[in-house]
Amino acid sequence: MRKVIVIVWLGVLLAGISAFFWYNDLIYRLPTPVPENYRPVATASLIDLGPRLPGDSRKPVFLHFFNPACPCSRFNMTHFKSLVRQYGDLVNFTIVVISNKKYTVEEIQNKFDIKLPVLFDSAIAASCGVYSTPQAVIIGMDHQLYYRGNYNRTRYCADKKTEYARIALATFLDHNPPVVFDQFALKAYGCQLPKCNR
Amino acid sequence: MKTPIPTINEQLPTAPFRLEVKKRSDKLINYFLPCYFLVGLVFASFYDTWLIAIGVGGISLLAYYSVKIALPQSNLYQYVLSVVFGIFMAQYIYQMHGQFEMHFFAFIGSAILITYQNWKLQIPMLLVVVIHHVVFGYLQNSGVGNIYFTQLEYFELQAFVTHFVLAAIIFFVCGLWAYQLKKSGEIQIRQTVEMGRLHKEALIAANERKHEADREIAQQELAESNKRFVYAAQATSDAIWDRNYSEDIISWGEGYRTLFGYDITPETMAVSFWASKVHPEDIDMISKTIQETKADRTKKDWSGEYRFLKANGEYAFVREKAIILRDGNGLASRTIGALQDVTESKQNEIIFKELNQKLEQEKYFLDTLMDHMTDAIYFKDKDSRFLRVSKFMATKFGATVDELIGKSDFDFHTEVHAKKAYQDEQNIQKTREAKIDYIENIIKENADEKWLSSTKMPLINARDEVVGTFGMSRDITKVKKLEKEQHEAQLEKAVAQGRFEIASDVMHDIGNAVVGFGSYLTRIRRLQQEDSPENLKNLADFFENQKSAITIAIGEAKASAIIKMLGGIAQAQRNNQEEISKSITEQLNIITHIQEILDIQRQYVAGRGSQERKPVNLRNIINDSLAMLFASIEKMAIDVSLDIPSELPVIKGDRTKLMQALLNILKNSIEAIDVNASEKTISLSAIAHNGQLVLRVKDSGKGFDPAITDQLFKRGYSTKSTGGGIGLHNCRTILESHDGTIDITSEGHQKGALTTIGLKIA
Repeated sequence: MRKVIVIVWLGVLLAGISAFFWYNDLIYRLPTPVPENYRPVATASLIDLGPRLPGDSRKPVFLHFFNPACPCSRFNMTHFKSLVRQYGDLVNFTIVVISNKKYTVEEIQNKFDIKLPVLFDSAIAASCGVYSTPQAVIIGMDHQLYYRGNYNRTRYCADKKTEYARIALATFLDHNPPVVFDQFALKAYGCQLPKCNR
Repeated sequence: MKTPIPTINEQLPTAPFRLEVKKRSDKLINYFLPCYFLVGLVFASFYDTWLIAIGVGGISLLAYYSVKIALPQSNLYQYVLSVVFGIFMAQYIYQMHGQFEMHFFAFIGSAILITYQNWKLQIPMLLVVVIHHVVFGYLQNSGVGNIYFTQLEYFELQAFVTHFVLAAIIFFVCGLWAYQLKKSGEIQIRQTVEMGRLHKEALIAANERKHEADREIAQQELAESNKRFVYAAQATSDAIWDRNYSEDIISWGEGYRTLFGYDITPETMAVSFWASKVHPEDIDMISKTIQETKADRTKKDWSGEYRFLKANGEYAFVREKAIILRDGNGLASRTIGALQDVTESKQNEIIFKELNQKLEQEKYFLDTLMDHMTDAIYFKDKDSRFLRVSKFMATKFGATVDELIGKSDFDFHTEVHAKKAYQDEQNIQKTREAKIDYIENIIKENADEKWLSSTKMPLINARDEVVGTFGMSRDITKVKKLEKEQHEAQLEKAVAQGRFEIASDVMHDIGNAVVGFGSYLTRIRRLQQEDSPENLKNLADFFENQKSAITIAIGEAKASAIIKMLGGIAQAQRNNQEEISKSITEQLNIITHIQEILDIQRQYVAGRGSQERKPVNLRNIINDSLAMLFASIEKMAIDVSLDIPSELPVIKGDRTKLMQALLNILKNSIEAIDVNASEKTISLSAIAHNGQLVLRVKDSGKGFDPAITDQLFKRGYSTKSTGGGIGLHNCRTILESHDGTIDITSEGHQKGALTTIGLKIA
């Protein structure tokens, strides 16, 4: 009898474990909630960031919206760095830190181990229509928004088929018209911006 | 060679070994599992997977420990552990977003499980891995949405199989090691048991051989030793014993039986048996000293005395002497000793001690007596030489006690006395008769008399031999003197009594004589009154008238002469008659006074000690006393002055006695005054003061030396040549019986005296 109870008990515990995994995965799978006062910025919109953007103005700008406190952002770093390694000469990669905490440029650069310009201006996110991290934004030399979306369909950024940012960047550099991505690319997944919490 | 696989049927002691493995492994898991949980927390910090780390990790721990507690006898919890390791691996992979390295935890878990030495434990984890991969791989491959089981583009069957095979190999190898470990452990146990058995057998065999050899040697030695022991034990009456500290017995010689009555059996040889027979009051002391001696490495022998209970229930006093044999380290290994029964000498010692104490006490008593008694106590030898004398006696002899020893009465007394004493003592020795309480009168050379009350007895020793005399003398000189004084006092009293009686008789006779004298005087007066002088005058007148006729008859000259003679005779008779009448009156007055005095004296003699107390007027007593002494006062021409208030307070007393006292005082004053003195005064004054009536009698007599004031009132003391020394003594007795006082003072010779009488006012 006792054994039966124990077996049942183990079943319950197993169910509990499954539930934890399921619940956690479910949360990850949900898109980032859209802030109330969110103002969508459509592709091809003119984004005037003016003198805030450093670097060669003849190159397109790749903005990496990054929050060190966001686990998704942290995990995404490796993938972002691979993009920088691949396209660093052709694109002005810039890291935009969206965080309540105060970081120095060096701290952020040390995290990525790459000397990239680092901005702390949260207004850039609003200008680009970004409301989560990590998000990638590609702005052309004509200041038009070329791409704003996720890096990958998976959190792990391991799915080559859904390396949306890379695809968008490659397409842009090939001077092709913007790729039409599905919702998994354009609908923001990831962490909410600190200031936009509902 | 095929090693036989041990089974439980072979009765191998594997259960304890397995239990030991289980315990040890459980202990290890108690460290590993929390570490797994902590590792989950560490991984959570990377991507904030806290919920998974705590939730899944916590449930995993709960699963393991709850089953372990619920079914402690079952191995189920170990299988749960295997599953838990699989889940932890999945958790880590999930937490680290599919990091390949996390898969190595499968190997870690698998390796850890080897500790239980149960190959089957690999299966659950294997199943978890397989089922998980199969299910999710299938789901992903079959295109179910939202399944990101693998980062690989396509989880091919080949890769899946490869992964599974590799994992299975790991699990298999670990399971194999577990199995091998278990088996080798059991073989080891089996071998150890076998080794142990062989070793034991070999030891027994070796021991037997050694014992055999040892026994032979030991028996020889023992035989030799016993022989010596028996000789020694026989040679002595003591109880010989031998104790080896490696054993708990005492080997006793024959004396154990002969002295104490115990048969030599294993029971009586036990150390505890000996200890139980030692007197309870001695055992602690004996045990303590034995232990101390044993512990002191410098000590080689031990001796002591104690009481030991014999088989017959009596305690024997034993004296024990033992030698202690020590090993190379100085530790006592063996003790050999002898027990000697010293009961008799011990008892004698006790008796002797008691006797000695008694003797000491007796000596103390005797010394105290001899040193402090105020009697002459002595012991003399056959020749009357002092053997011992009391301190008092020595002092009386004018020597010390030691100086007297060896000397005799001849050295201190007159020869007569010494000889008498010597003869007495010789006689006592001869007759053995004591002289008890006889009185000795010793007249010393200086003629002093001494009285002794003595007792002398023969000194007889324990063998009934007369060895001298002893005696005691008490100086009763004082008693004798006191007796003499008392005798004299009684004599005096008798004389006084006689005097009173004589005085009484004398006074009676005087009284009778005085009465007779008075009646004669009265008769003379009457006759004188009857014998009228007028007749003679008438005769003279007649002759004168008849002068002429007579002249005629005898002549004128003769007639004139007869007439003149007759006239002269008549005149002389008349004068004489007046004179006689006056004298008679005077004498009658004196007789009256004498009678009054006699009355007082008679009353005094007759009523001695009467306690009559009546209101008395002091003034009257003074007047009466002065009246009684009037003749003497007048004869002495003493000037008596009185200062007595007319209204004196009344006192209570015996008038006669008070008067007697006052008369005595006044008489003393009168007698103190010299008839030829120029000033002859007695002054009396009385005043009432402080409830007392104070009468002062001051005279101008010869007074006395103030130094003798105290003696004035002593019976028999007198300053007068004719005095009996009773007057003032009586005065004081009378006044004291009236609660009064009397005091006489004088400033010296020829300065008069002042007598002060105090009487209580009624």
